[in-house]
Amino acid sequence: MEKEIKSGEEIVETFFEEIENIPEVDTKIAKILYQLYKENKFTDTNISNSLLKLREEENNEN
Amino acid sequence: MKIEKLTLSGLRGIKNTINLDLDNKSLLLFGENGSGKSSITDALEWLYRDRIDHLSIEEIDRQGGISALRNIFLSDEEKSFIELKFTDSQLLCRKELSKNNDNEDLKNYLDVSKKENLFLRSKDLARFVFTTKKEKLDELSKIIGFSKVTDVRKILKQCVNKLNKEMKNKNFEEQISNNNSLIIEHISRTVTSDQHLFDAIHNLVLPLGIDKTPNSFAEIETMIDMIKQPGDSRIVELLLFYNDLNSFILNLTSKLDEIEEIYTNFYSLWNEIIDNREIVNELLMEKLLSEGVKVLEKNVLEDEKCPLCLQEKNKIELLEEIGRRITDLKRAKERKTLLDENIESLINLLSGNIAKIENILSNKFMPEEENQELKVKLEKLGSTLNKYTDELKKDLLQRDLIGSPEGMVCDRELLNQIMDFAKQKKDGLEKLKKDDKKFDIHNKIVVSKRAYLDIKSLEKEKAVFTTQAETLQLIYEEFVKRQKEELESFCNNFSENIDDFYKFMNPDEGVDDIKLIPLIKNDELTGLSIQFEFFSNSISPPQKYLSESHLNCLGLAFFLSSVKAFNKENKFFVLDDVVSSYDANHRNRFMSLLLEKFSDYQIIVFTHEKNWFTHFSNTVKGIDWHVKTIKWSEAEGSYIEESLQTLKEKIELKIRQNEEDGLGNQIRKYMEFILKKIACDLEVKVRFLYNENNEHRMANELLCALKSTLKKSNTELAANNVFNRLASSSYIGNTDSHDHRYRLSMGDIRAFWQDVLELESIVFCENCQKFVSMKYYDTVNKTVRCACTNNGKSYKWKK
Repeated sequence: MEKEIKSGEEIVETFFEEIENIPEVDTKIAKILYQLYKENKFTDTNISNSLLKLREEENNEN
Repeated sequence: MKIEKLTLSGLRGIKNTINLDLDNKSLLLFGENGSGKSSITDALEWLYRDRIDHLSIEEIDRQGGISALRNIFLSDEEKSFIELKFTDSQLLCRKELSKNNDNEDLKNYLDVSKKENLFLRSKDLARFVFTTKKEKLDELSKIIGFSKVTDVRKILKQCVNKLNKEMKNKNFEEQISNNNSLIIEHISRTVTSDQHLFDAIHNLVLPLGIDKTPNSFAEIETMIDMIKQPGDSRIVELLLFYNDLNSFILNLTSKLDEIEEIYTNFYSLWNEIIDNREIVNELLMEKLLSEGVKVLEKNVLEDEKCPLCLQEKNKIELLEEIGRRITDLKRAKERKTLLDENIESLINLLSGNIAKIENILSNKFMPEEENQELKVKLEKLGSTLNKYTDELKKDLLQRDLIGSPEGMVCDRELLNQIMDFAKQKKDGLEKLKKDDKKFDIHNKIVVSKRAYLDIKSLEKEKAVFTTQAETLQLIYEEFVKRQKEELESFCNNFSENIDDFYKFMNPDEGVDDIKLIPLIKNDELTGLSIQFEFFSNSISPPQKYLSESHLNCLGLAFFLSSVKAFNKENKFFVLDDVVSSYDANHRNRFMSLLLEKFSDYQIIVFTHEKNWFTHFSNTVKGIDWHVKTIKWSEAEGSYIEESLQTLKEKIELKIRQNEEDGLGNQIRKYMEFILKKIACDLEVKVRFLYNENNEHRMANELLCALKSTLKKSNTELAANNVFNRLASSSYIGNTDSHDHRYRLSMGDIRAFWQDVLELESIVFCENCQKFVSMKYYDTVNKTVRCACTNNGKSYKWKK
């Protein structure tokens, strides 16, 4: 049977859907990236800001 | 989606409405050059792409050739439109010139279809083969949307780099090491846990007769309260302040070298750009265009207009055009990116240090008289660093001049003076409390406790940073891996089909293993090349050895592979005159390829190659294809030649409904069919005419020739008055009938039709549904007849 060829969008979509399953990846970060992608806000500035916010939260945790 | 019915009107060469009832089936359409085949493709291209590529030239218009789309013979009231009905969808796909489409479902369908390969014209056959490696990649990237993958990869890479840079600037290792040194200096041991620190404090306070180990940081505070003397806390804090100041200036000294080096680099890049007006102009354009993309992507304007000039323009087209122009400005953009990287590094390095200076200046000890000298020096240091940030804020595109690196250098002597000041103060305080045991223990506890807590906090912060950096790196690596795998899988799969289709059309010709090879540089896909084995030698590019015909085959194989790969919404495709450059063998193999490998598709084939058409139509007779002919006349424009039966039904319906419009023409057309059939079957001799002129004979010529044949072969038939009546009324429907001043009555038309039917009844047998023909000539009885052996039509016939 012929193998399905994925479009660029499908490749990216599948990747983000499975991002949490990548071994040794921090799930909180994976979720942030997936969320930004879903909301069409996947830019380096948005990612940096979200990661900074996460760092601040985690540093303030006891 | 397969097409049930295609209707076109007033587009390109098509003046009157053309209906193609396809009902899911494939279509083989024959038409001479100029008959209107490509008008159908143009209309479909306009429907799906909103532009017609081959008409998109400056001499026509800047709107994708749309101004050349309307048929020039139309009156103002007549509409130009294309309409598609699909068998498996309720969607009516209609597009009219000068009318905006507001149907959301249709818009969505057309958006999806834009990415599919639905048409191939002869002139585009080998286009892909001849493009450069980069263009091949761009073409495929556009089809499969690979730019989306590249964008995500770039963003991930940027984030990984940014995070690593931030981590480097934080200098966790050095800060932790400094704090460890402080602990060792004060309590002569390292501290790796809370308990270690508690034990160390227990040892410190033992000489004071306190035999107690603190169990918490709060208990440490209680112990400090127990041993502290009036005024000691202030001195301890001052010592910490001068100590911090010293560490900061030490750290800044090492950073200044880096800041100055990056600034020197930045300065030379800045000047390189502003000295070149062309690059500045390109950057200005790039900025404008990039802003334009944002405006378009955010749908700031609801109408399909250019946001700058407000001219009507298709949004997707415009985005594509801007994208191309931005790509052309890549050289300037790359320099700007390099400059921006320097700016970002400088800001990272400067911002923390400037904030630290401000923090020191706001310390509660700064307003004190003894620190005024320090204050002046720190303010001077702050303004030196701020000078850098001021330069970074200047406008590159205004070609602002920036300060030279020499003029920006920070005076190291100033740093030494600050450190000397801090050391002097620290030494003075220590000297003051030299023999004060309680103070010494108090100070050691405070410093080691703070250093330990700082280390804990730094290690935590470092761990959070490291997790983020490692996770992003892992995600990036996985993404690159997936990108490569998918691309490889895509190329392999695609190559298999190209190889299969090409070899199907060219068996045993020495070409084997055709492959698309991805070219990757620094994790980045830079191009695609086509490679194949030619008599066991690896060849690239194909034009090196293949003939034009073979290159066209390769192009065709590429198109058909992309149909298989990417057409998911539409299960049909159009091939417009694609076999012109092939010899008979290749044409027939191509036909077999379509029939064998694409039997589940609705294929629409246009051709002007008569022999191939004949062969093709004979082959598809039994497999449910539509076979039609398209013609063009000045009066009607392009029209589909209808089957006799369909035409007859239409004429009779119009007569029943007293509808005169075009009726005379249709009857004339019907009569010409009959006369041609008779002339062919009864071997009526007419004068020799070249090629298509033979088809364009007028009814009168055929009537005369038929009468003359009948006079020789069957005088009784020749005497039938119907021939004379037809000769006199055939002008009714001649090609110029639209311009006739004489207004025909419905009665004239009805009489004309009756004569035509009478002619038909002479030669057409209702039983066998065949015409009387010389094929059935009886040499014994000297008669011609229809296919019936008994009771059919039969006439005496003298050869």
